[in-house]
Amino acid sequence: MADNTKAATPTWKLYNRPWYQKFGLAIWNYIKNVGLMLWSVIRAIPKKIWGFICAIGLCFQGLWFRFKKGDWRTKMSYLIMGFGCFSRSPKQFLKGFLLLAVEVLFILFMVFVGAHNLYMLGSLGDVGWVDNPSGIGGYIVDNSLKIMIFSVMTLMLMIFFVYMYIKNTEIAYATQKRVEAGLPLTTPKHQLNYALNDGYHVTVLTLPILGILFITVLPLVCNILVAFTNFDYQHAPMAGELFDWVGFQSFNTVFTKSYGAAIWSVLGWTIIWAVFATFTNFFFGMFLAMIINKKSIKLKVFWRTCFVIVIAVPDFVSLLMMSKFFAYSKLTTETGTFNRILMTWFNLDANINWLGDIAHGGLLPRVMVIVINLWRGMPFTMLSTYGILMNIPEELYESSRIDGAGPVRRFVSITFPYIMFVMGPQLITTFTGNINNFNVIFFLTGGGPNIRVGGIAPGQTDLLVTWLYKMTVSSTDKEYSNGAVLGIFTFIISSIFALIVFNSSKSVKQEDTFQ
Amino acid sequence: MIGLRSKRIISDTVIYIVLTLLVVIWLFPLVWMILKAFDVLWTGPYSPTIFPEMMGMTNFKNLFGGEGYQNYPYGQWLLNTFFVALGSCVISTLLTLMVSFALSRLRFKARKKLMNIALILGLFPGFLSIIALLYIFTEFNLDNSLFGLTLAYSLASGMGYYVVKGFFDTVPIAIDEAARIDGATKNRIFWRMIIPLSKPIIIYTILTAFIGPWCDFILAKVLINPSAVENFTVAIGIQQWLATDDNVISRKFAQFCAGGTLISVPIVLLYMIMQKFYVAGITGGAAKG
Repeated sequence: MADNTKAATPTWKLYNRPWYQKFGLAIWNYIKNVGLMLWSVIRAIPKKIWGFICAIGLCFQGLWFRFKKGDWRTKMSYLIMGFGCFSRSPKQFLKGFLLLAVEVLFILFMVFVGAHNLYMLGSLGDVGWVDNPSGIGGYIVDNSLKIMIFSVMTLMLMIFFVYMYIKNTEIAYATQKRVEAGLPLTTPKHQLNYALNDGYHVTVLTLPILGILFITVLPLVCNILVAFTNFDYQHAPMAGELFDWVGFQSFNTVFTKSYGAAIWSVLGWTIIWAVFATFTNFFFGMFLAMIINKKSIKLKVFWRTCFVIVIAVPDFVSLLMMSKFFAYSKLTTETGTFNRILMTWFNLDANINWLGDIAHGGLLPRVMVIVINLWRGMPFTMLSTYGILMNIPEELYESSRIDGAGPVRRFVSITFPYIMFVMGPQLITTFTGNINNFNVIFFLTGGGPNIRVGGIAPGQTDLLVTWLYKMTVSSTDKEYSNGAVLGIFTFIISSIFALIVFNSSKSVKQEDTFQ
Repeated sequence: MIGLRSKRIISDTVIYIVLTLLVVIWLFPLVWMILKAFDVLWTGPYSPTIFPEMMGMTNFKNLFGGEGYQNYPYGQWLLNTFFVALGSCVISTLLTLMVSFALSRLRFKARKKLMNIALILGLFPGFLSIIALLYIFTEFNLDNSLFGLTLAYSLASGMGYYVVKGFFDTVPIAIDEAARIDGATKNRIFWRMIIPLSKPIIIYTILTAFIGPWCDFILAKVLINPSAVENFTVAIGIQQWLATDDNVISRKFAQFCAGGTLISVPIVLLYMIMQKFYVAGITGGAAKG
């Protein structure tokens, strides 16, 4: 695959071709590379799976091998973790008892929490709410959600335990080998030194990874599982009702039944929004950075700062303020400041519902969110482009001037390729970020105007994520499982674009170049 | 030569005019918001005049007292926001630095794999996990508490290692090797060499880690119980002042502007410092993935 990527001709090297050919070739190369990339990912899957199976097989082989070759102390370690350490020498007490503690804690967890929840995972609970015998009040017996969360946690802990168990046998066998060879055993001081040196990656990564597992992975897995249940406001564990596994029913609801028509139009708008939001910001930001960066322009810091102030104001302040700035109340025909400005300063008869007009399927609000997003997002691009512009070697411009290149030529052949080289990958990350851009839509229009009806129908400016929010947070009749399906769908859409990032950022593969 | 010079003067003048125009458009809404914060006559979003007719400090005073203050304790929200931002800033910075160091400087078997997994995890819309996070936090009694909110902001921050790692990558590895020969442990290299050498990126990390929770809305909105006013952050607190449908027109808009102006001031100042880092191209590391 690497060879194919290399074969693609860099666009700016085709200097003597007309521009449309360069452009066409660039796009063709891009699509070709993405295709090759996708293909190589798919092709690698069976290999990966086979590799995984082999790795597991090797683990078991190693387990059996060490058991066969081990003396009685090593063999005992298979039952009592850490036995091979603490039974040999007091020097190894710390290590051995830590391993033992892992085993004891794991068994305690399984007995009191894990086993029960795992057992219930298949049915997700049998009895929900039970009334008190007295008839007043009651209590919850099984909570489907709790069962699901703790089952996932238990599975994660089990994987960790199996890893520690295998490590334990390795350690026991290695210790035995050292004793047989007459080498001295490591002391706690050595072991500490290992934690600060060769094993330092374990020391520094444990905490962050635990955090990510708890805050990101655990919720993610639970939410993916929720997509296969019927969890909604009628099956809410908080109210003592149970939910159940229903297979692909929610997928069916979202893609064909209730929301079958809406979801594709929401997806279409999401992509249109992401394209416009990304490229308007990029081009206007670049333009702004270039005119501020022009040599003869004075007060550069002042101009820059003026724009930076806009991005410094938090979204929830600036965007909510903007939503009222362009507001228009249909009921009372009262109007916000923007219409007022048009009326007083420009003498126009403006009674426009900027963010809520429903004509042409809500075209005006759609345009407005893109325009207001330009107001909010352009200074970001301006700042980062400005940094890149300062880094372009001056020699390039000087030699091009000697060769008689005009300003347009210099832009096309030097500035733009340079900016694209640095910003290219970032541009696509921004694009995926915009697909999931919750703030702009939520604060400005709240997804409205609403034309569609039925269920939790999306509004005209709703993106996939704001629709997801409606389904799972703001609506009274929450549809959690449909929301989870929507989340998975959003993930698939974003990851398709992320594959493109992989493809276009050569630096991912050459991250060591600088060292 | 005169022709060239006058051409430049014309083009510069055009640029100045364009810039001035853009700055006016860009800053007008904010100036309007600040002026609105002083409006004492029309406190709703719809007023018959563009700029306030009567100016006064009432809206700002109402933020810290006045009738019904216990229903919207802005002062308390400000403190909450500050402590949550500060706490998560400390935790996130440490976690980010640790992960970046490990991935940039240490070589171990799972390194590439971890980076790929982080990349894939980062693609899930943050939203998807927020809602499930609420269920989980409820099970652990972490929901509706500022401590839980702090954890939610900071614990997963190891995923955002890209910029810092990109910077660490540019510090020559020869420095590490020299220190290793002198007998320094990796721990020592991290704290005594890499961190002092990376001051700009650390300041950048601290600032972004602080600004993130300070400006965030959605996580607080989901995790904090809507009736627990004393646990609100400023974001969800002042959003409430506007969250009314078309039938009832909120009269708290001017107060929203006052509260919004106050919460923005520290961030504007921090951004003035941050600007330097962006312009210096430090964050170019992000592009290097």
